[in-house]
Amino acid sequence: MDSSATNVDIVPALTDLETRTLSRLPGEFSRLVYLASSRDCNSGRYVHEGLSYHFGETAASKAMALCHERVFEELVYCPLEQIVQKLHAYIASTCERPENVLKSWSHLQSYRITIPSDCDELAAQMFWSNVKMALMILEECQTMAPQNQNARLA
Amino acid sequence: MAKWALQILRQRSQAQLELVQQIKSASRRWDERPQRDLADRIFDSRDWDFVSRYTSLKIRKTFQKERALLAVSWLRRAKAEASLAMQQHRNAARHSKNLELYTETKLVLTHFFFLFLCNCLTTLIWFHGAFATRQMVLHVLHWNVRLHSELEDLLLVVDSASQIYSGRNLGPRTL
Repeated sequence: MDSSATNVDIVPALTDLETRTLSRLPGEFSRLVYLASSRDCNSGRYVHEGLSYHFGETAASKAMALCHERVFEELVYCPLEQIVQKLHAYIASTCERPENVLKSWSHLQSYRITIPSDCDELAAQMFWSNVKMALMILEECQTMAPQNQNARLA
Repeated sequence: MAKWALQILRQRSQAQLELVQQIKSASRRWDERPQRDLADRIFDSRDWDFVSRYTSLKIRKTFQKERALLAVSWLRRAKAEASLAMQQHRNAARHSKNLELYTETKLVLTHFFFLFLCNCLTTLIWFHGAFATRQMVLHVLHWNVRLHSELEDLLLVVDSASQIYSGRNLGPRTL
């Protein structure tokens, strides 16, 4: 994304997005999923009605794209251990049962569409690989937890 | 007639400048943050420590396989970028009058050695995994930086040559 030329235009939209919306979401994975789901699959543009109303569609879309890239970059350069913790926190923050979320993420590989449109190919591979590993680790923990509980009860 | 000649000269020197700019940006792309940091992340031993300490054998094996794939992708990209920079240097060198045989030969040899090293590393990674070859990868990074600095030196030569070529028509350089 070419953000250098239009950075000045999107600064208010960016500040608004960060302070009013993203700061309320717990953790990077929540933000990443939120930003990715705000993107139109066909056009690649981000949709945020409130932000568009105040700052215009283009500025709103660019601000969201920039935030998306930032959140993604933060996750890509995270050590695996932290990714596991962040993903665990994200799963716990959803209303779904953890095993359902894990199953859905592993089977559908929905995390694959959470990457920004213009991200580096190798960074995307790195992210997918780390999330895949984190899911496997969390699934293993899920299956181990009842066993440990049973052992303790016995 | 003189005006026409001047115009042609300006156009050609502008093209030369753009070429040098392209080479500079290509060589800058070489060691910029994403690639360097991604290599650090791919070969980061903290991840391996975490996986080997807390997970089962099945996960450890999958992790090693995943990292090997990433490491090979990274090497493939490093090779492609080095070749691109060399190709662009070759194009620029064709217009330069300040070429030094010794430096050019050295650069070509370094480049081929780098490619050879990348191929060896790819084979080693497939057989031994990404973490066993970590130290060797650091050496490749060292070679990458060295090749880059040599290319930078050569670009200065090409740069000055293009400045002479362009005359004083373009004013101060902004590269």
